[in-house]
Amino acid sequence: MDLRFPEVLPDLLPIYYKRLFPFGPFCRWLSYGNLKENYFKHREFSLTLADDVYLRFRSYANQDELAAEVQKRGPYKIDIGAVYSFRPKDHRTVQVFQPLERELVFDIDMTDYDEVRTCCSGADVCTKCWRFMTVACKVLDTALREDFGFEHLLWVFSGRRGVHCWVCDEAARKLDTSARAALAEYLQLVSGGVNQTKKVTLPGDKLHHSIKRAKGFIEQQFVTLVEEQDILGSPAALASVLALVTDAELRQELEKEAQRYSSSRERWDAIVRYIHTQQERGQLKRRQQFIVEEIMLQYSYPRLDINVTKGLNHLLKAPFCIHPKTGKVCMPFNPRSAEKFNPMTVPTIRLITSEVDAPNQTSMMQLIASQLNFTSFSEFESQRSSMSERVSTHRENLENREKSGRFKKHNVYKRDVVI
Amino acid sequence: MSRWGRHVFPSKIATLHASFVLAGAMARAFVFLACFPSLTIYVLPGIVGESKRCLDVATYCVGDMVDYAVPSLWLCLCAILPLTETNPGVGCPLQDTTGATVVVRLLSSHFDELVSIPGRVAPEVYVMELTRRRKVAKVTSGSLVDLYPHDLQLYSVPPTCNISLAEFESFALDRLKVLRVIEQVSIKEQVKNFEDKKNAVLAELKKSGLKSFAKLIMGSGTGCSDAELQARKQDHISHFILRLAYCRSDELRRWFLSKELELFRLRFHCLTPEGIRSFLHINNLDYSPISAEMKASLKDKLYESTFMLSPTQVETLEFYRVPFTEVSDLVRARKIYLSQGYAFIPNTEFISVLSSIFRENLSHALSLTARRLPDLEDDERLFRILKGLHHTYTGEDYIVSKNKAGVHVEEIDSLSQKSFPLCMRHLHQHLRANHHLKHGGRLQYGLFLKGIGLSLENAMRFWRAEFTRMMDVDKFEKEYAYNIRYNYGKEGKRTNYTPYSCLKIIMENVGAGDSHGCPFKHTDLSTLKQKLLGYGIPVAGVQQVADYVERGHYQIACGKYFELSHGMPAEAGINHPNQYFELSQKVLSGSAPTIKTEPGNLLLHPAMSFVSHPCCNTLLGA
Repeated sequence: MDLRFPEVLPDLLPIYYKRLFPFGPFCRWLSYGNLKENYFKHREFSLTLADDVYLRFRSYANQDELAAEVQKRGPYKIDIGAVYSFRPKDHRTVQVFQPLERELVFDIDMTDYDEVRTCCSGADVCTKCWRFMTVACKVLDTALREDFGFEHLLWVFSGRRGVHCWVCDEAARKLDTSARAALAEYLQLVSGGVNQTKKVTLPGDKLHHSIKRAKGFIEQQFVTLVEEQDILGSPAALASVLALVTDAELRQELEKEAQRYSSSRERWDAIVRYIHTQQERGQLKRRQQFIVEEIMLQYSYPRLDINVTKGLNHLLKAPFCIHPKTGKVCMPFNPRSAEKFNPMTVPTIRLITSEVDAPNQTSMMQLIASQLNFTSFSEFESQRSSMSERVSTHRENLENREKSGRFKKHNVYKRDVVI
Repeated sequence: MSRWGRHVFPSKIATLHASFVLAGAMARAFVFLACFPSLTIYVLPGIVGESKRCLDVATYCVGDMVDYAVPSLWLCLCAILPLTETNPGVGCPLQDTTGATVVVRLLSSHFDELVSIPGRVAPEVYVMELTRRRKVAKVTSGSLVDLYPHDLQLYSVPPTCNISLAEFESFALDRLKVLRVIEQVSIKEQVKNFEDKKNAVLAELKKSGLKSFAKLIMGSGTGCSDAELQARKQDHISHFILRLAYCRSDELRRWFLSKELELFRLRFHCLTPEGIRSFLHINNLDYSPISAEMKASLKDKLYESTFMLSPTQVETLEFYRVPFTEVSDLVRARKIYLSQGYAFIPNTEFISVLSSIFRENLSHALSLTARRLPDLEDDERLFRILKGLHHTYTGEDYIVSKNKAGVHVEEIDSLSQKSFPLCMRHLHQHLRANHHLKHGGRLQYGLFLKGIGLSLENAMRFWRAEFTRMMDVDKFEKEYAYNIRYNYGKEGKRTNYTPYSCLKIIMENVGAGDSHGCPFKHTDLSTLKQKLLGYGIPVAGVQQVADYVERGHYQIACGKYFELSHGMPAEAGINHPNQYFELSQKVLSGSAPTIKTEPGNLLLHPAMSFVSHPCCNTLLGA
């Protein structure tokens, strides 16, 4: 992280918006193939200027207007809101001003993992705790694709400690608040406030398919997580894991088992082994059947901020913004290779703006346009290419979406009704 | 406006209906004429009578399925509709889908009969001809059997008949009582399944003298005796009247919607299989199950993901494939198999589909009704009733604290120990310990404090003092002060927000790291017990509370906690943290009146369980 942020930001932002910000793809995305004339025009943008001045309900007729205002004001942050029934900038003049559509969005924030991560806390992240994010990303991405049939998911690193997911399918954009709430709660397995130690309880005697699938992903990573986070190392950490076992007898047995070893890894293996033997012998109580799963899920199932998902008019930071605290670019990444994504090496505004004036450099916009050939760039440029690679993920997304908008029948649900 | 005719109108009908069109409305009707050049409209000028209120009800009801953009059209239609009702010769005026035109034609063909009744003094009637471009939704106003073929209805078509003012009032109150009974049962009685709930509701209804409603709930579904038909009619009309009273604010709408939905589910559950079939058929809801091959290929998934399903049930039950948005409650609870946006539900869960349809329709209708409410306000007498109901609720929504003296920041600590309900006491402690509350907690606690009389200035002082112990004043002013002013309606939408009721707090989603919510629901039982012991509740009492909590009766548990800490039961139950506070203050100051609990005591709002309001008394005739 560049220590001189955010002081240098006001100097760098104008360059960034003038020469680097990909307005083209950005507006192409939000126009959705221009199937509906007013889709872009009725979209709310909100700009955050220096000293926390918020400008809400901005809207623009086209890319040029947006670019002009952004370049003029150099906002610290751009948020995207809903598509309204009327041009948001005129919202005071009309009577019926309602949000109609918006992408289904998810926000996962690393701070929600504070009680399970030991490496960092608060606003900090490192590659170790990023593993939580990659698991969350995998679980959520598959659930959205398989269970809900969404195809156009845009995953974005928020610039500091979280990720956002924009589900852009037409069916998703049209969901009403109650459907959004249901969907969000379906995906929120970890719930309960500070007063509830056990946040995952699996009812019944079988696992729901979505949980089973999530368990599959989590299992692959969990042992590494246990080691990296030292989940069972200290007495306090061990106690907090065991607190999830509601049956006192079993808890004591498990504690005994775990105490025979010292490292987290060995302890975890011992716990799992003990429970499995008990299970095979049929000695595990019915309520404790899924205790291993419950522990794993509580530690690594995606922790969503579902209020963001529920609301139709909730604002969410736009991709390609610069995070005002870290100076990092808020950039798209490919969920299929989320584990390769490293939040620590995401280019900062300082880096990419310094590239602009380097000799023989094509501008960022041109790079995007020319689809960028990675091999032809020097090591220095590869930093930047890391950004453009992500931009091209974004672009790939756009193209899929445009195609499906034009050529495929919209994925709008039909109900099987015989009338 | 091609043709104007002048007719003498029989006064028998005139006294009933002639008053429908008043001067203002008349003006609107004329404006309207210009848009629809050839609809025949009878404008009956003159007498303001009893039935004007009926007109407005009808206006509302008809309006729902006509066209929202042209209010005067409804007015005109309504002026016509009751005429046909009282004259058997006119028949079913709106049966044809061509709508208004048909009404009008029927009327004109019978007009000579109408005017030929001798010996009446009559006002003048103007006839105009126009054509209506839009189609009117289908309304059947034939015999009651045609109108109400089934005990249960989706209330998609508004009533079009005539009722007296007294009926209007009594229908409204009866239904309120029913909804209130439903609410009481779900809060108070210890019900585990629908059967228990049904019995409890039936017992309550009989106690309150609502026998016809009880019969309706128990009915076979498809009978057609006169009593049954009348009960259905009353059910229909009263539902629509309450829509008028309850469409006003979000809070009211939410309450009405949830109670109506509960009633609907209960009634659906009571239907016989035959009754269910005919209900689905009548409402065009003939869903078809998935094919045997599809089921076979999904067998494992269905078994594993459908809640409480045995392998044999997978074989025997039929499954339906519906968009997930139609069964949001099942999706939310992860109770069904979900693939590619479609949910697979067994027929035992079919009620979910219906209730989501019901909810969607009603919520849509309520917001549309709300938009048209100003039209209704023209009629003083009708409006008085509806407004009366309305005022009764807002009287106790705790937006404005009754505590005139207000609460001082210095008092909060001691009050929190004496009079705060557990949820607020907990939030207060959390705030004092961590000098911070997350968003949900700030809302829940901040609004509560507003409700007990903490002024905005004091609130700012209170929160600032606490938060600035871990952040600088600048950050507080930037990030949190807005939030507090927002609660008081000084920012954003500028709505003066209502303090949360128990229901809302209990249903609230509490995420990791949040400290709000209902402690009886959102705290581990062992932690809760310890906390209660720490507050000096005797061991036996703690166990009692814990018993309620284990069975999921959080509000009763809260009531028990009140009783244990105040040495006096909260007779009417705890429904609202601010109610808890006020009751506690009364008990502590010794001014607590002995609370009367009468059977069938009608309480109009979740938040006003025991406070009897003068308006409420008037309404109850008490």
